[in-house]
Amino acid sequence: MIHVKDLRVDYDNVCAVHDLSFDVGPGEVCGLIGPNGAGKTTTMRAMLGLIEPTYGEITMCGVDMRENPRDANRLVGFMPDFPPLYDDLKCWEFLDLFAASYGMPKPERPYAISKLLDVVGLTEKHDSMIIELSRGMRQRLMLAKTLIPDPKILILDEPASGVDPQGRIDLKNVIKAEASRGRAVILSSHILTEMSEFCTSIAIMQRGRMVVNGRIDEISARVMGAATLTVEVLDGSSRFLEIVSGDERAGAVERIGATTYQFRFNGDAVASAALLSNLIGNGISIAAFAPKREGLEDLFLKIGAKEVS
Amino acid sequence: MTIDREETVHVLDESSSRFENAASAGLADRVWAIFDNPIFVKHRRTRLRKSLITAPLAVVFVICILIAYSGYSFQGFTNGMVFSLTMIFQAILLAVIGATQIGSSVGAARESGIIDYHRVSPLSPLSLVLGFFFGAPVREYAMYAMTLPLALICIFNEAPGALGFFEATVALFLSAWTMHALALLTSLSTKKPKAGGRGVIGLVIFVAMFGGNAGIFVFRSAATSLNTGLKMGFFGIDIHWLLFTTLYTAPFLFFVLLASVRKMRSERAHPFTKPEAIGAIALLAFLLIGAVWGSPALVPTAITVLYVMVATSCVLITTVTPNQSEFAKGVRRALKEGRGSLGPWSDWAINRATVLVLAAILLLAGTIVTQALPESPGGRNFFNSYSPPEFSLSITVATSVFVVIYVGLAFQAFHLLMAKRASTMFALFLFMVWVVPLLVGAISGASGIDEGIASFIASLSPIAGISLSAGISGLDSTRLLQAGAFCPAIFFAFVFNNLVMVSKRRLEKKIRDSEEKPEEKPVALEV
Repeated sequence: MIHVKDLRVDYDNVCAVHDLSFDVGPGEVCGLIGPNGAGKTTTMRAMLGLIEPTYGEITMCGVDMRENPRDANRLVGFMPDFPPLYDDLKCWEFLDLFAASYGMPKPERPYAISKLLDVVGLTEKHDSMIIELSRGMRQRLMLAKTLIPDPKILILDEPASGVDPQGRIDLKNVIKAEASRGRAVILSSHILTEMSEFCTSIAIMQRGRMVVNGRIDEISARVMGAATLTVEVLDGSSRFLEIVSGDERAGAVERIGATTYQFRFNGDAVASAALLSNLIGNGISIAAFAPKREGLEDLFLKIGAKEVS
Repeated sequence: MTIDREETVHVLDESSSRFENAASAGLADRVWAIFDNPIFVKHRRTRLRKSLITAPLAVVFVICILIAYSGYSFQGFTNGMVFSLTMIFQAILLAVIGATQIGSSVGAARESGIIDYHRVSPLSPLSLVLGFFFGAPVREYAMYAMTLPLALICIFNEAPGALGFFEATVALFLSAWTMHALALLTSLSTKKPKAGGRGVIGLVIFVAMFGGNAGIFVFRSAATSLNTGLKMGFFGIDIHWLLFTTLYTAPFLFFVLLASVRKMRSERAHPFTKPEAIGAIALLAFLLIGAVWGSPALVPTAITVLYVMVATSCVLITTVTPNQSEFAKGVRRALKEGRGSLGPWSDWAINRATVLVLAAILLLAGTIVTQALPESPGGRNFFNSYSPPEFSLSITVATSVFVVIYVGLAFQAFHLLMAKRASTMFALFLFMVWVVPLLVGAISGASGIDEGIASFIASLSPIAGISLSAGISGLDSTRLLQAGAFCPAIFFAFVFNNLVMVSKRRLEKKIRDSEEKPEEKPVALEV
């Protein structure tokens, strides 16, 4: 749904984004990660048509952003890190402004606005002035605004910044709900642990270039190598040790509890499942079998970025 | 807060169908949509809130009462005094306060970044511009409406009549909209958004200071002179003054709003495309020729036309000239797309072709105004007192043309040679070649040095040179003054043309080399 190819953006003789290419498909949640000045926001602004790229191809659901920016923007919902709002408007008026901008007929707007305020938990703030809202509430209102056009693509720049823990959970749920409806989501955030919970793919940028991008599990397997397997064996420990030691993908087994063992396993999810099946097939009583890979933070640090934005 | 995923889906799916309905809306809906401009509605809501509008309306009401009281005290309703005061008050409300409101509204939207939301919404840049243009001063329109009963009393007293009131109102709105359009463009163009608001206030103060007395005179005389059927010449045809004013204001408004639309579409866009700038100067030339056609004082009028054309051309050139990074961007794009170079009319192409076309239009317009129009005896009479020995406007036209060429090319050269401080250095250059000779000439003249030498020094600056080369100083040394005006112009045109071409080629080569050379990857990671 999002297709970016050979994107280059120059700012005053500085190349902010250099030959960037990536794709985000339907139902995919792509996390854009990189240190400060990596070019994440510039990439997002170029994708929205707010910055004219030097060259490159940007299409949203097949619509060329450079050729038909207005048609492309109909498909996109955008939320920046610091939500600029009209402080002199009421919450419903703000949403009404953008509902009208996106062509929603006037009689239909009150119902849609009420429902969207409900979705983001601001029902009781319907008639409140925006200036009275807290930072987190403003972010929620901005999320409601972002959802107004029922975008097929969501571009969220640090969406959780300034949001309280409950708001983050709600935001995560909204993003998951949107992805489950086949929407493509691209977001940047500095809270990598949270991103790992709902991102299906990542794109790591540094100094305007794409360092790595793809599905998290694939990248993790390739970059981080072996996963750590923790197995609780109720019965048949000696047989368990024999089988695991015989598997060339398994590393040295370490006993970490009375019945619990841990070892590195250099295989994907299919290989892990095959090992489990083999163990059970050999009459070993397994109480727990937990493969664990390092999170996004480890991945990010391994790739080389020292400073997380 | 509870997130009901099913409900979210339900709401948004309904929204989708609504948008589809909106897309297939009929003509009536489309017409209504013009009045339902979201930006206008936003301003209407915020600026006409009861709590915010009551006090300003009360102030306007009290001022109207005071004007009416003064009218009754001095019989001002019948001699036009009340109407004049009402018009001045209306002009302050609409033109002055309205323009500052537009500046602050657009400046605030840019400062907060919310204008980017509007840019990425499906609303067209034109809708956004019209929304701010009519929406931001909506309270001032309400305050203006409050003054209308007072104006109606004046109409009832036949000072002025209904037609006169209509003419004055049209003129008032044209002036106000001109100010509003300038305020809008200024606030969209300044690098610092807040500075845009201050710039508008400065503009308003400037107009108020320099145009204030003239404005008061105009309004004082308006009440009595309106509806007199004053005619003005356009290509020799007498047309009503209001039509004449509209004929000249409308294109100005059009081009200022056109530039605003481009700036609204993109922060970094040039206010005009190169063809638009050419269209603007061509239209200006047409209107100026239309105005001076058959003018009784042809020569000074022709010089005025040249000054206006030169000044406008120089301003337009600055709006279409790319800086170094824009030019580099354009070359990179051209290379990426397999083209050898940028087209001459591309926003990122150097301004050389545009400068030449603008100069050609100036040459044509200047030649028509100075050579082709029938000289009226009045025009000759104007100069009789000066008795210039050798009088030719051909050199004056040529000087004007080369001034435009060198200013345009110098602006481009500085921007190609320098990544930063180009505008500062260009301003310094203009100061040295425009202002310094003028000042030295004036000081020399005042200190008693030979008048011919002082005039010659002053003529080196085109500010004085264009008119001095026309022989209006009345000195015997007109040839020398013509040389003084013309030689620097052609010299700088030659120098900057070469500088532009050299720096262009150098930049293109540098970019080609950098594109061919593989750059170092930031992180060596094999995955």
